[in-house]
Amino acid sequence: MSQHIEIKAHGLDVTEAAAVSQTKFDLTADAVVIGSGAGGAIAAYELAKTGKKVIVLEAGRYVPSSKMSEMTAVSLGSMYADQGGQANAQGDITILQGACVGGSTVVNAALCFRTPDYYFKLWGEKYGLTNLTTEVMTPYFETVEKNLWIKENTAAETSPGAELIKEGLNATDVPIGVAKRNVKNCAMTGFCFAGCKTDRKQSMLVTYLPWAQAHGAEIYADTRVNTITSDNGVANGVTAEIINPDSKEKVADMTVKAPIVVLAAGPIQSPIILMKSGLANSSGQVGKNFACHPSLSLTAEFDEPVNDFVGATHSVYVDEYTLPDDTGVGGFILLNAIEQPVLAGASQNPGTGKPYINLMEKFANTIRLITLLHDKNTGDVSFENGVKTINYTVDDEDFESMKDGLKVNARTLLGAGAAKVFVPTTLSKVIESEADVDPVIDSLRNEKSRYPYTSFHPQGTLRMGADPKQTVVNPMGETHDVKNLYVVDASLLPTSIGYNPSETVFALANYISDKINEAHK
Amino acid sequence: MKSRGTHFDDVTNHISSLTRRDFLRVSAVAAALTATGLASVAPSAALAQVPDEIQHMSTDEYAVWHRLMLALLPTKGTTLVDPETLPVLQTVDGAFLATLPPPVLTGLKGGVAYFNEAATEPFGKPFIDLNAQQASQYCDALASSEEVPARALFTALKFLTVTAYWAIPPTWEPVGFQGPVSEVWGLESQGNAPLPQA
Repeated sequence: MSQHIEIKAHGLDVTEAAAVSQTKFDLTADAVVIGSGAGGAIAAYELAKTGKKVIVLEAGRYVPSSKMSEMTAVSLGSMYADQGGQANAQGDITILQGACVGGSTVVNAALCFRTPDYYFKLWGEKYGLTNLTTEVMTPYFETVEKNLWIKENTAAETSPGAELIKEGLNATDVPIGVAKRNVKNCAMTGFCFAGCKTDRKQSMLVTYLPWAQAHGAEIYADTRVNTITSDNGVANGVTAEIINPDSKEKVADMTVKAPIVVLAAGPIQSPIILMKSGLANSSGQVGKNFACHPSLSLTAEFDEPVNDFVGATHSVYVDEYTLPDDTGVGGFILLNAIEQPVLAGASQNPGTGKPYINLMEKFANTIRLITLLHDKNTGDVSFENGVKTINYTVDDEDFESMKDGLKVNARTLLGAGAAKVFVPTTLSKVIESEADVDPVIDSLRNEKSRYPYTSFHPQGTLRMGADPKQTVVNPMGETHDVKNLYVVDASLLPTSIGYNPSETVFALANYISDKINEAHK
Repeated sequence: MKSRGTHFDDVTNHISSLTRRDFLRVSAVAAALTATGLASVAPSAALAQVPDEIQHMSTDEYAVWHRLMLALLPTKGTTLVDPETLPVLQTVDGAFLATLPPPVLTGLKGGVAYFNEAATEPFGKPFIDLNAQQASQYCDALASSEEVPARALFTALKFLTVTAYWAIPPTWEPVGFQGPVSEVWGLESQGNAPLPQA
């Protein structure tokens, strides 16, 4: 069949607010998918290719790659949740999340990891997810890796900063991980976080969404789902609004009647939609168990220019210390990243005025190495009086893991030849030699609004498991309380997984889509 | 710490006492904090002319933002671009303040007023009237404060100002960043991927 189906060469056919003239849409479908990111797009395709009529509703804008500017600030404003300003309640963790057609897959750095066997075992033992074994999930990983061109970076897919970091890791005998990314023919522009203008990144925008559309799926952008509707404990559709993203004015109301509802709005919005709907929360766990992998970047300054401006956004990582220890406290990942001035310019504050200017004058001499924390699921997402709140602060035990990671990070950068390593507190601390590492890092205390954390990986909030009293979603991806209501995004994850969760979501979405298709032939 | 001058401890202590006042926490771009009961920013000296594009700052608030920009980005004598030649505060206004929900914007305005007025006790004058050394001391004191609201407020204001500066393309060349490259490099779009084969 598939060889006879036409795929558009470029772009998607998307209904956007600007083109809508009617004020009311009453639609019917076999399945309505809420969200068009990693989970939603895969579900849309997997359902559509079995002949189901699928409607995809995306709250964010449609930004075709041809319109991407390679200007990070512009992308933050148009393609990220809250214009890039989404944060925890304290305001000290920026939680970056895509809010556009294709979701976070459009603006992430494409790094992929299979879910470690450790978690499948843990989830089986602790949450009754005995169906999710490495053996069962391996074919799903293989499928999404093939479909999304997930491959290890070639030797050429690197960056000047990554090469220095490799030297530092070699000098300190820390094993180097080579990134796997869903990128085809990477042009190494370094603009992953602004979207891939030439469609090298195999995001949902150029893969599963056009494939779903080729099988008849309809995509609506600027369309925010308000509630999921149900009858006698069975989901039967949604209510939504089409909102002009510029004026913020409502353009049209929408209802979609569909016997299958797939929730994939992401770990912040998915629980909020359930809260607004008053559904699926007999466990009281909707919005709970939030984790986000808070990260801190150390900035290394070298004596000579490095010019770490272009290249593969991610090239090397260290996962030697990622999995939880015997006490269950998670570790960390180190990850290089190309960061441009608009992202990195506010991360360090060596002192107001001249000290800051002196650092930024040498920006070409600097590189950054991220410490990404494998945190515990201690937060929650709430929604009251129309306001979402992400209640999350870094746990004390997790902060100690962060400090362990910062030490390895600093030693790596010193091993790479850095003259100075800047530690991003509200007034940066500086490491200039091995002797400084322990005293400086040990002096850090777990304090609110002290560190400029960034999170790229919100997760949890609709935990999956066998026990309806402790979890929201059953092992097949359907909510315990509401039949035919499925969840396929990172909110499913019962625990933080330490690694970038994209491929886990890809594979789970494919797995759950198969279960949906088995139940709805 | 000694190098920051004799006022440093005074400033820190003063901030500590003031920040125990009625700050309300709000979810914001960073942490927008409001001090209830504080007057709006009082007209004072050194008011800069407000550009026409500014829509979400009062004249008095603009003066605070402008003074903060100069304190954070003293580029004179360096290779970096003078922020006064760039639409930095127009960017803060249009790209950040314009996107804030009204309650959050109100909170941030309260924070700006507080930020200005809180300098009065240690220095005898509001922030907008501080000289360069005093302004740096004051900002560093806020940044290193033991009080969460003080450092949250400063961090938020600094983040918005500095990020707006680096978002403006002319700031890039002096640090070696070339900006967008795909068109310069003549890269062609690969377009949509073909359907997966069974």
